[in-house]
Amino acid sequence: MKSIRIEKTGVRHELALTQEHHTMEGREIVRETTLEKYREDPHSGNEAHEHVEEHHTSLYEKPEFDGHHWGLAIDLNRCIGCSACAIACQSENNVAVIGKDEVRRRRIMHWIRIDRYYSESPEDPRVYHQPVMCQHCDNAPCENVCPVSATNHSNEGINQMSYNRCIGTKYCINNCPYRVRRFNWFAYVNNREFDFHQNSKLGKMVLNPDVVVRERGVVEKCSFCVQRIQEKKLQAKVEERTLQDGEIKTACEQACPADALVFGDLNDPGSRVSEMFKDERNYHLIEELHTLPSVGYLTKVRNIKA
Amino acid sequence: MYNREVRGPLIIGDKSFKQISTDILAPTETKPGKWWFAMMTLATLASIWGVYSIYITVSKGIGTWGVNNTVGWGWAIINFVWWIGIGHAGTAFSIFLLILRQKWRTSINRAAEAMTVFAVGCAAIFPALHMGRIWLAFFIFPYPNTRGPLWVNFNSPLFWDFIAITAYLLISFSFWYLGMLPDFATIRDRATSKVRKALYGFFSMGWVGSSRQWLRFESLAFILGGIAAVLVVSVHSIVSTDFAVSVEPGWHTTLFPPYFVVGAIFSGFAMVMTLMIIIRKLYKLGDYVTDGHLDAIARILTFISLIMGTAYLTEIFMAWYSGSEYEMFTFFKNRITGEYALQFWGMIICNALIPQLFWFKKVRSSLLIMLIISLFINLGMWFERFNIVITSLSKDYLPSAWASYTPTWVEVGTYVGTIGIFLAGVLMFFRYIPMIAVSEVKTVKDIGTRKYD
Repeated sequence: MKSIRIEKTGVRHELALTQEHHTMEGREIVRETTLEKYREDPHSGNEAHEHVEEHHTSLYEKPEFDGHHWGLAIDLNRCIGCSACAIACQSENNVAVIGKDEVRRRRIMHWIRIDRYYSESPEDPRVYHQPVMCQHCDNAPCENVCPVSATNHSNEGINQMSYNRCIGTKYCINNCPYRVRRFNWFAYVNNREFDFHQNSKLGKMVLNPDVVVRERGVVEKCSFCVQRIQEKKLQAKVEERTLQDGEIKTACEQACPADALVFGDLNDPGSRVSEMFKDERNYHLIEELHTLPSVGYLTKVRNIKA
Repeated sequence: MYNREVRGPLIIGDKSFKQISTDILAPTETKPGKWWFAMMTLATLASIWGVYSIYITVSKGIGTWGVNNTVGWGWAIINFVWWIGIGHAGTAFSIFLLILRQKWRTSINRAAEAMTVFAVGCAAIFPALHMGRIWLAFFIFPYPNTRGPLWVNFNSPLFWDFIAITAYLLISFSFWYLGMLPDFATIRDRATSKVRKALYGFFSMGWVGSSRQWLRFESLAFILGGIAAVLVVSVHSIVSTDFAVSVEPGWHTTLFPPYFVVGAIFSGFAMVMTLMIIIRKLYKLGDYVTDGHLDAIARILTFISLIMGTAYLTEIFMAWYSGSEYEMFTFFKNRITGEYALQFWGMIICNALIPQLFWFKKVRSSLLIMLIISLFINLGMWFERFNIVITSLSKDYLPSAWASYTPTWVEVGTYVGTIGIFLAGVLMFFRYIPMIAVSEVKTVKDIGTRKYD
């Protein structure tokens, strides 16, 4: 080890970053409280949620879902920011690998990303991790702007993409306040310029046959692993029984080592996700926009002196 | 008559009808100067670069542009809105000034309408091109089809946009073309070569100038004018809903429709001024496009510039008054100060401040200064669209997604290409079409002169 030396080479290297801004700008994106305060009032840190709930008004009726209403709860206290969910999602949903150069142009294809923020001083920062995927809003801003209705709402509360219908105006990307929609900027399949797994016969063996590979020019995003939902629904139907809570696991949920993500049916009052949605720590991301997300976050509780 | 005291004669030099025809048709009947060929070469080169950029975009993908996950719309949409705005002046000139009985429009409306047609044509390239799968663009046509039938999303502003632009292009082209029938017939009647006679004969659609034809002509102009008058207001209002209907900070505002329409007329009138000064200089048509005409355009620009300034201040005020931290950030930290301050202040200076120089009579009578100011206005209007499209998108709700945007040569090339196409169109217009509506100018030739009283 003694032979290691460090010297200036003068070579510049542009880092490929998926996130370039590291503070929350004082916005209530990751809500947090301290253990002390939490013991006094489990609602602490999440005061804004109640305020928003009180002010929810709309000209339109609240959307109702007769059968299932899929939802995902994320406990920010459990998330350790390991990104296992992102990789699991990538292999489950055939998300393209696009390389460093594209990332330098601020393009990523991940359907779920871990946002990371810092607060306090740079010497002793506090770190925040927040998995963000399509929030499957019941009042989705992306849906009503698509000129060809390529993105629309299923009767189970899923914001779905019809790739065959998409003409790629990118309006939905712009109008998504969470910026979770991904565009196929190039053909990532059978393209020598993107010589990753989708350019060779062997590489394509890793693709999931249950999920289509997307063409150049279409928008894609988290589908709540709709192929897994359909599979389990069908299985339950064949076995003539009702679906059990926890039977359907999305790829991200399955991969999470800390069980931070919980997927389930919001219409089932006993499901784990329903319980978590009822938790006083539960809130929605940028909920003041009245997008009515089907994804909920639970406030982060830190064991520190306030 | 009252016109005389206010504005003096509309046409200088007590011309005869024949003299008017000869003066205005001269450019179509003589060989163009060297400058014309030089400009045409330049325009063609620019167009070739544009076509090559379009080829790259379509064959490789939108990835060849600088747009990214956060800023989904870039130069393409900026330039689309910019061109559509410029296109507004033709219709505004013809219709609004017709309704307001402004006779001075007759010297200018033909060129303004030509400009509209070319500008809207250039604009239409962009929304088509920025589609990921342009080969499926027909999905946006609302027609009963074999795909379900699947209908379009009638809630989407992009669909409204498509309808508005198509209607606008069709109506403004018809209005422009049909207005030219009598003039084409005049060229035909004066033609000395057989080819010329046949060609202009074809384009004049058998116009003979009978009173029956004039009657039909007038009523058709009236009907088309009526439709076009609505379009002037509707087209850019609808373009503005592309932004106003969204949830983006800085876009989601009810101010947008009037703000866009006024802005469009502003840039369009500025482009008309640029064009009229060039026509006047190069073709020595100063007797028809008089100082009075340019003075009138300058006055209108001064007034519209004040409205623009008011709109900018209103936007900023509303951002503060809304109490929304996102709106506040977009306006105060991303536009007025911050990464895009140059474009913001460029917009303010070019649109709200520089045109105020027109208050001075000296400025309004110098062709050179007017030319420079009119170009500044269109630069400012480009900055305005940059401000709207890029600053809102680049830094909106989640700071984790914030990103900057820089165009690539493909986007720049497409823009330069449309300028080339526009220029080529205008040059062809100079060469083959009477730049001033001969038949209309003849009706106003005595206004403001002793004969008219």
